[in-house]
Amino acid sequence: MLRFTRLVLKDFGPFKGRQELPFSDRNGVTFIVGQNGRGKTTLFNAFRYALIGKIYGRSGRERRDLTELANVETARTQGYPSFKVHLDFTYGGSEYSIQRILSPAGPDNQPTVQALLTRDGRPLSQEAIEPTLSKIIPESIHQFFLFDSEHLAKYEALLDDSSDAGDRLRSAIERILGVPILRNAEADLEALEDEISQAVAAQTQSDEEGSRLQAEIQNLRDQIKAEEDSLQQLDEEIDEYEERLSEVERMMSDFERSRNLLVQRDAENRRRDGLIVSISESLERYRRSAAEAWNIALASAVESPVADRQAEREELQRRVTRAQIERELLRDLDQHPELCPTCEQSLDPALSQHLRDQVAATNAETFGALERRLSEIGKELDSLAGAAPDPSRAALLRDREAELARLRSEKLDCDQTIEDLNRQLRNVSETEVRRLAESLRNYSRLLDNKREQRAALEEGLAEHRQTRAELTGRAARLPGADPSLSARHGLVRKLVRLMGQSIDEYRSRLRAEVQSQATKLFLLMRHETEYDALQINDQYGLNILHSDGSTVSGRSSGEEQVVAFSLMGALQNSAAVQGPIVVDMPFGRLDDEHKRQIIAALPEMSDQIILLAFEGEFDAHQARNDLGAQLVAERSLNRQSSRHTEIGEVR
Amino acid sequence: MKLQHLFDFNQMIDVIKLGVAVALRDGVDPAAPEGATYTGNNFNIDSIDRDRSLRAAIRALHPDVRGQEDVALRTLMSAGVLHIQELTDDGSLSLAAILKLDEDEQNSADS
Repeated sequence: MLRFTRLVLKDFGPFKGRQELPFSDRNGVTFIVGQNGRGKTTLFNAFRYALIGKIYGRSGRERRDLTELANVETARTQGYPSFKVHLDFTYGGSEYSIQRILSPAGPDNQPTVQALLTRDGRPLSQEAIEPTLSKIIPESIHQFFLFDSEHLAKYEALLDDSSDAGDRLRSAIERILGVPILRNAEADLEALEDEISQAVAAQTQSDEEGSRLQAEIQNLRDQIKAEEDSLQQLDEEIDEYEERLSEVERMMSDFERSRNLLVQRDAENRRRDGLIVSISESLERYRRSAAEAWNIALASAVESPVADRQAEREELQRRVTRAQIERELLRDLDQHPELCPTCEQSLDPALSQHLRDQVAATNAETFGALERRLSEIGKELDSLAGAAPDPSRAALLRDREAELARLRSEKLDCDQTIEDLNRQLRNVSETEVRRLAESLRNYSRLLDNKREQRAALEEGLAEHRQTRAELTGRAARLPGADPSLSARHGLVRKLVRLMGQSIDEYRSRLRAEVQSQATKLFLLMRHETEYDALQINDQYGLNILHSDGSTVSGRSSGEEQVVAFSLMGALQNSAAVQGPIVVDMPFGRLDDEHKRQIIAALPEMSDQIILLAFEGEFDAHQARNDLGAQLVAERSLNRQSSRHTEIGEVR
Repeated sequence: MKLQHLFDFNQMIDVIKLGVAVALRDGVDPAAPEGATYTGNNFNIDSIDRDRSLRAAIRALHPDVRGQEDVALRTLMSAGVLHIQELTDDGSLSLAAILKLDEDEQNSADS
């Protein structure tokens, strides 16, 4: 049983720097949620790249130029692309750690990938790395562990007997279920039968019938050998054409993807146009505020002298008041020199005169100076009145500048997205689409021919093997023949027949088991209560059965997804190889009720489920409630910049 | 032109006025360097300081230049632009930073 324990990325796609994603040792579901463009598919690819050493684009085509996956910001800073993908997992009681590192190497510093695999802390040789990983998770079955919901169509193809895609998927399903092991045993028995047949022919007496039988057996053996070689060559050719056909289909789906990219680019262009208008309006508002910026600085510059003058003015006003009182005192003394103006007691005339002289002298001098200074300060303060602090003006300028910066940043992001989309759309041409369509037809035709040839050859081969068996039987019964050879030949013949029947029986049981497991999951996930069960066909395609006994046709894409999930879970539960399921875009085509039921059924599919979803793709609060303790971790993919995402923990 | 573009001002005159005000705030010396001429300065000081508030501020902050406010203003028109250029070279790339608005906000929050 395969189980992930930790994924570490360094400068892989938007995952800048070293970022770690530990996995819980508890059974259950891990959610990894991020907005579009935050790196969910890159993360999905990281699992696949670690395990099988290949990266596939959204279209399903393998990406050859791995330097494109290095983090752009780091590559610019250090001057060359590099990344590391490091996956720790357990399998068969051992701890494994696979690292794939892209870095410059060799005399010309070309980007080169190095792989390092350790088992229980001990490194394996370079030659042993891929075969070891291939035994744990063969490339042909990785799609049942790493499930991209964008590629649902091929599951539907299983219902179409003549579909090439369905045929390839059926082979992959039989591989995960272990059928090729039995096929190998059958081939070994046939080889054994040939050996015995040769031994029987070699020991026949050289009488007339013996010689004739010997010659016929030898002829048949040669013929069978030639047919087996032809069959093998045809299988190789079929594999090659299937590979080419698959490549063309992927390229075709690239064009399908191109159409989606065009739609996306149109939307981004509209968003950009809107942003240009918003920026223009925001700029006008900002410029009105910016034209007053000098006033804000000036208010700050004169804040201190204005405060000093205001304080001085208050002091001067106090002194003016005092001078005015003294002036009134003088007036009283002039009118009544014999009386003290304060206590109204009689005053000596000489003292009265002395007082009047003193007050008159100081008052005449001070009052004028005070009045002049007060007037000066008043004028100065008036001239600085325009530079009075205005907090609302400053706040408005700050807000408008921030708004303009935000809109410009959004537009830069938008420009970057459009540039990326344009780059992806650069090589799309109608001529190419037509050429691909023609290639698709040609390869399909060639494949049909080869398969017909193969079927005819297999029929002839079966007939010749039968004839060889009969002739060998007759030769073994001739006088003088070794009775033990005859007995061995009879036994091997029975075993060959038995093995053929066993394979048919095993397949039939597997189909029944997959159907039963898939139906169990389907009933947990479906919300149309009139749908009763799933029915499997020879290709492992699953039909939905209505309660009235009919087969449901015209399934919605949401129903298609539920059926695909059911098949995935059933294969996991019935397979010879079991492990985690990682699903990218799990809920894109589903309504809320389906989403809820699928989430609740997830723990039934595998012990370790990792879902990569975009924000809002499902109701996280509801999912937490429904899964309870079976939700073992929640992670978020957080934007730092358009080329930098950080993995965060939600809980 | 560089500063006008950097801060998206409508007119160069806005940059010049901002330069004078920020120079006054930061205590830039308004005394003209010996032998300085104003060749190349295309702005009329009355256009720059229509309400005379800049000259009032010069008087308030530099009483020693009394009577020579026009000369001081001309000096600050050049020195102020250079001063803002230095501030942007030091990393103040927004008007809010030049005006220390974030500091003001921080100070008022602290008090």
